[in-house]
Amino acid sequence: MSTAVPFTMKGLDHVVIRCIDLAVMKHFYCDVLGGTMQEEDTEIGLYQVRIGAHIVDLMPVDEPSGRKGGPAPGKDGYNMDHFAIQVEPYDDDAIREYLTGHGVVLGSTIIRGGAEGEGPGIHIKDPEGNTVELKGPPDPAYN
Amino acid sequence: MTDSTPPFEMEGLDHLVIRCVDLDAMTHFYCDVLGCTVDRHNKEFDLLQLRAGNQLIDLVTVDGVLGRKGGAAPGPEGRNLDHFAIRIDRFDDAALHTYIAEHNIEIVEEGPRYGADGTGPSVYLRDPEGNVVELKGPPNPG
Repeated sequence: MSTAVPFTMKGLDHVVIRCIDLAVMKHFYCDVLGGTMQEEDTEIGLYQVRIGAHIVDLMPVDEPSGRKGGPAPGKDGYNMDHFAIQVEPYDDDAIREYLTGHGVVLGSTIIRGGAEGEGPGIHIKDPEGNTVELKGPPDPAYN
Repeated sequence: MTDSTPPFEMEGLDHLVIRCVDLDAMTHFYCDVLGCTVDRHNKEFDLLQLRAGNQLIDLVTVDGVLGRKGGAAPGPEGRNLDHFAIRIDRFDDAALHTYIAEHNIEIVEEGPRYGADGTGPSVYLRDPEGNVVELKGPPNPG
């Protein structure tokens, strides 16, 4: 009989995205979404963008770490469908206007189940086609 | 001229969604081995939401409603997610190694790594479909 899990999970810590054009991706995650470039490790090829409590790492596919994963992700066969970032406040009109101004591809806003409950979330595309959900706080009307 | 300040602040990650082939094998790994619990199963979208502490790890099968949109199943290359990290408490290196060996899981690499709250011990595992999951311990003191 197996022993119990010897640890407890606190939550997610970071996600590491394989990318092609680092400058464009940095612009999107930092200048558009408001992340902060925390550390740039050019030796291994890992660029850490702080997004609140957690980190989104950018890993160019033509730098040492990224090369290990082979070719760049394409239009299908990718392993992550999307990831979601909690944002506050969530004003759908203002978010749409702002992102449209930056030329971001916007999807629909629907009530989606997140880690803290049901609330509004908009799906957007980063410059390399990854789907990022901007997830608002849970809406009492749906919980 | 567009407004240069976002009308929101990012608080952190909420969830990530992994495309998979064998939902049973993946659920076994994330729940029975790593200790996630099923938060909800959205059958309309073939989306299984697993709780990992304060956030969620969602699984969609590539032949399901959502999964089909991403085309073929992920292969060994061309992935968009290199790896993701779960922050764990009670990082007991010896107990962790024993436990991982018991489940016949390969450790891809290990050592001190930088995470969202500082540098601390990490082990990297491969889930049944080749996704690399980092288990990240608390930051080292000092």
